[in-house]
Amino acid sequence: MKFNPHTNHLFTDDGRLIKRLHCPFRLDWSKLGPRDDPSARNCHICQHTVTDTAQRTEDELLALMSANPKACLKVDLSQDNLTLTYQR
Amino acid sequence: MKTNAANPNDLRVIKTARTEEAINQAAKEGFRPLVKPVKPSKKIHSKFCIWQNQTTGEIEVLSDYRINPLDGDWKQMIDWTEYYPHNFPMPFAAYLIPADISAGERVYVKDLIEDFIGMSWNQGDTFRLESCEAVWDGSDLKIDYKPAKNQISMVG
Repeated sequence: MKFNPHTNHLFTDDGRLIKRLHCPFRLDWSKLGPRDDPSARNCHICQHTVTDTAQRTEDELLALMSANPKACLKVDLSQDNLTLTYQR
Repeated sequence: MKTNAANPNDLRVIKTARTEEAINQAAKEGFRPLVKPVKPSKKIHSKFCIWQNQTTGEIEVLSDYRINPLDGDWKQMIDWTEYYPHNFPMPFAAYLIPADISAGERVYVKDLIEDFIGMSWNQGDTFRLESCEAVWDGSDLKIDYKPAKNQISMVG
């Protein structure tokens, strides 16, 4: 998975767009409410579920976004399944 | 100007114009352009290095130390180099202040002119904050920037 922090676009390694992340709240993941699923948390502002991309595969995230285009994601710049790129 | 429900407290949105034409058009529409210099901050920087395939001439641009150097016919042509990663059309811009704004009104600035650090990476790169709340004090916008410590994750 690749992330461009200049554009906030999250891609698969082969270049398919997963989502452009945009949240004006600058939310802190550690302060979001827990869920039964440890790979997701609750946003207390929008009431959306926020999914941790570190714990999902690219295919799972593509399926998630296809089913719910407004789903929110969390990206950590240092997570193991992610590299940063500035080219897209 | 419409209120943007996407901003945190549903504040009035202040737009930014980045060319002379856009600024003057806004003035004709009744906005008061608050002109500011566009000054790249040395605190905002990204990095890259360039590898080139010695057979095909194609290049690969790397930005992440975790990506291993390329094997085989690839040669590093430019070592890791820091740069300012943004390119604005002009060295000035203006916040478009609505005519009916009152001193003390809190607003949402969608496209900041000033450079503030929005996110930092443990590889040294720092990323520019795009939007922020601000308060109009009657003559200027006071950007309400609250630096986040060790901000390395993003939700959206």
